Amino acid sequence: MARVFGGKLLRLGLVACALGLFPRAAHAEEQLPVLNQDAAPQPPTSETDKPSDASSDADANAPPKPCPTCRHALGAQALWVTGKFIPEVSGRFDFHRWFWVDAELGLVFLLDPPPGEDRVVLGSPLAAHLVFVPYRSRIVELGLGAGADLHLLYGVGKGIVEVALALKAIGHVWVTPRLGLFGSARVYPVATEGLGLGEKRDGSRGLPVLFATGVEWGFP
Amino acid sequence: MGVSLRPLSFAALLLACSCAPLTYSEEGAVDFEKYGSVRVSVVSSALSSDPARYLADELAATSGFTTVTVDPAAPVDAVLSVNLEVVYAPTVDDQGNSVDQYDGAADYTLTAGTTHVDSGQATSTNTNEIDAAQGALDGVVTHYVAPYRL
Repeated sequence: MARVFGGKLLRLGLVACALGLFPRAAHAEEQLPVLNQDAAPQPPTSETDKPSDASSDADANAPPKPCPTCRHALGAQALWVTGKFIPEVSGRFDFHRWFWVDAELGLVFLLDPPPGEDRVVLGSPLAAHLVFVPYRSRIVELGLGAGADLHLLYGVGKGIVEVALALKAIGHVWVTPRLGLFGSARVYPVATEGLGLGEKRDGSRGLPVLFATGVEWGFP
Repeated sequence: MGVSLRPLSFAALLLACSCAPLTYSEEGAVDFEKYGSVRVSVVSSALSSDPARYLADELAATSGFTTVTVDPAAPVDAVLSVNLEVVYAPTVDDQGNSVDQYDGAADYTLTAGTTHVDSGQATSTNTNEIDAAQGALDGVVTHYVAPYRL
């Protein structure tokens, strides 16, 4: 069963990639599905039918949502960094069909300190990104974002802050209407001198792309 | 209910290979091997606290100087002279109410004998006079933070 579910997810991801690369012209004009339609069918009991009817009447009278698939979200993610553990909480403020704002706050733990170094917590990364969302469906969302990444290194010394302009690509997969998985990749095209993404401690170069994966809870 | 481990293993392997190095570094404002010991001298506008003692303690904790003293008789490699000024600069909030505010500024110079080594200014703003002064001194401490590569 898990294999079937994994296969479906894989197919959905491939379909989403294909749609993202080759968007249909009519896509933007389509009526986007309402999130509640994702929910599993309710048992046809009288107890559930009555409130459903009442809410349907209320929904019929209510003005249509400007963005039916927009949903705020709260999540947890990890940044994949060599020699450091960086867990973060993340928030998504989804107010527009084409845009949302991501915010992140975390902690930087040093896993392999150099000799003589006894610090464990170096500080907190803090980030805010405006994300352009060219593709949205009930299940998959793909976006491109830009914003500021701040690394508040209070564990190193008072007032030490490293700043970077971050560009990132992000993808979300909603396993259920409420529960989602997401992953992102970001680069720092501009950063302060003391922040070396893709730079190893010995000065040699490595992968200059910062990956993050996480899980989130949506609030339609 | 069989779960195929192959996709999970592939994903785990991909993530393991996807870790990027991220290095925080600071070269150091001055050559701390050459100027390992420093004497702190602070000239301050009226403050109830002891700004020289505060600055010496903070420098001893996080700066690259191995020895920090306020003793004028102690032999040192360099002298850090700080002119600390705090001025009362009240502001007006959105409702038109007056708000207490202090602007602190620390002008610092590091000299070795007659040789000028380094200088600069650190500023801070706070609603409390002592906090504004200490904030400006913290800026001096941040400037002389010990070199690191983490």
